[in-house]
Amino acid sequence: MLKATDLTVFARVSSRWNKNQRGTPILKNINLSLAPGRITVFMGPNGAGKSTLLKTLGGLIYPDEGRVELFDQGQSYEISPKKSHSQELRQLIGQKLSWYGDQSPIPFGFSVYDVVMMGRFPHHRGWPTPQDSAVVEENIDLFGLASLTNRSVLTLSSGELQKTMLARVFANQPHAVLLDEPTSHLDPSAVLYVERLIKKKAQAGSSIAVVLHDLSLAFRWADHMVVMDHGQITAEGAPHDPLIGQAIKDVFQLSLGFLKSPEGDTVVYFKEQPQDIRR
Amino acid sequence: MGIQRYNPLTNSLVFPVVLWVLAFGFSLSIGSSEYALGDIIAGAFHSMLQGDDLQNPSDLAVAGTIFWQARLPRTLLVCGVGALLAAAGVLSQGLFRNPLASPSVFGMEAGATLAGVIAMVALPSAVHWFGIPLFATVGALAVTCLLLSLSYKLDLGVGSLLLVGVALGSFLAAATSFIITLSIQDSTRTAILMRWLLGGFSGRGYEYLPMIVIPGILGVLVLGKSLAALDLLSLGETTAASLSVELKALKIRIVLVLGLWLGGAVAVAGTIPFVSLVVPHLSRIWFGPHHRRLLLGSMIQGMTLTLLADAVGRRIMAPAEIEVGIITSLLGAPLFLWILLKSGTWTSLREDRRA
Repeated sequence: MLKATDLTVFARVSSRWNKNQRGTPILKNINLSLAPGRITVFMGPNGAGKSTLLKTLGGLIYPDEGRVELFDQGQSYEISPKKSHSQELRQLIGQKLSWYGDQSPIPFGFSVYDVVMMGRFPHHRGWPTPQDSAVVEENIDLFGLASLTNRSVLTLSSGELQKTMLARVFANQPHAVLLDEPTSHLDPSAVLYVERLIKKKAQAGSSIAVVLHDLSLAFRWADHMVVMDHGQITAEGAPHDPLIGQAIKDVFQLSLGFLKSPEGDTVVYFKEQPQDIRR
Repeated sequence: MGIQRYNPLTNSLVFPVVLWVLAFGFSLSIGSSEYALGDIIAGAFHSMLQGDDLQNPSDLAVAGTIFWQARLPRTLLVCGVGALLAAAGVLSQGLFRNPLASPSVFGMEAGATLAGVIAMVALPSAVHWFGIPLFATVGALAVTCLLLSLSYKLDLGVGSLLLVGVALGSFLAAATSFIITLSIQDSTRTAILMRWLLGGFSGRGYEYLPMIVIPGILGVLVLGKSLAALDLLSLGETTAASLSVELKALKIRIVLVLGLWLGGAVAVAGTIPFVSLVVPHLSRIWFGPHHRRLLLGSMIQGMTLTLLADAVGRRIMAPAEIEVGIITSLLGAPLFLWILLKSGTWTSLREDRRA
């Protein structure tokens, strides 16, 4: 389980002349738990602070105030401390926690296999064992990348690259998974595949956090929903809690409708709010 | 653009090592005196077994002296400088996550050179075997740290960082020229400076070897196991950090080793352009992108390339010598274009045309 207490993060001010100067807050007093066995979906307009929250939860941004703790097997690890971790603790957190987010361009032609193997780095520290190779190959197969195993990542399409990166995340076999828009480049069958995978992962007891913009997908995946705006959580609860629907209508300023497919899946449609209701 | 796959055969070290041995022999067999490799080696064994008879030197003994006192030290120095330059290129490309971030392009060599020139002009007494490498190391470190902090603070992309590096490099080169112009009255010193600046090995003997060996060993010790973590940096800093790479410690190590190696190489032979840019790319085609293998492979290919450039420089206008830096520039630019054409899937040098 991941637990955030009173998280506040300020925008970095590029000027170093005044070290006390702080930018506008990106996150304001966030309190949140990612319970084990649950998929938590984060929604909110662009710039609401979802990606920053995910990075802070992953220990990749140090919060200016508050803290993030990881609870695992009766132990608790503070993952966003002010001062640097010991090598052992960092490695342990790397093994328990995986983050996927915006991918900066890769400068060198590592193969798909190499990149997925990098996901095992917290376990092997550069000296992979046969067990690491087995896990890597299994995840490459799971994402349907077997025919691309030896391809340079520089030649992949953006969807193939995204699958490679997701295979990298799951090759780590983490206890908590943080996914920032994991399906942005995926084709529908790959989306379904990721859905199956994270649901399985959640059933096995992992804590999963996903940032999504696709409303239908969000309602299909979520066990728990968090709606954010302006760096704060405006609503939190089960997906079909009327408060959540209201919060989504408010932050996106649109009206929502829900349909049931014959199979029982929820399909969400949305349209502009009538002019007079809009704020 | 074809699809390149990994081929364990092409990753093998055998072919590059054979090439290196051939280049090593070629370098030993070439010099201003007309002795072939066979004579030289026979002479070398002769003087090792018999000692030198200085009163009445036989032909063999002369050949032996040439081997031990001229050709061997020079060949060793060329190897050392080539290896360090190429390795420094690998480290800086990995550190900046930028296939163009080579010390000769980004002004790090220029920084080391400027510091070396300052040392030679301001502290002529400190010029001996630790003064210049120390200054050159500090110069290279200063430029690297400046670029790194700029790229970090301003979030520079590949192109902008390149521009900053090139601008910094030409600024430093101009500063070097300025200092030389100031000391132009002292013509012997200017001659020494110019010779050093052009990049060369003539008249360098065993006394220069520590400048290579000491930084080389120190660097390997400092690097330790960080090369595997350098691979992960290619995925971006955030992703690397999420995979338990300690970014700060990694960068400090890499920068330190980069400075040490570059300082040593520049102290021995001045500016030798293109080796640190071309060799890592050449080696990436051969050995793939993993930094452990790439560093070793680049060292071997850096030695080979520099040996060949030096040998060509000694040969084509013999007995006059063309400085190795001139040869590497003449060879390096076309070679780089060729690499650009070949390296499509190994580095992101070219625009993305996969659509």
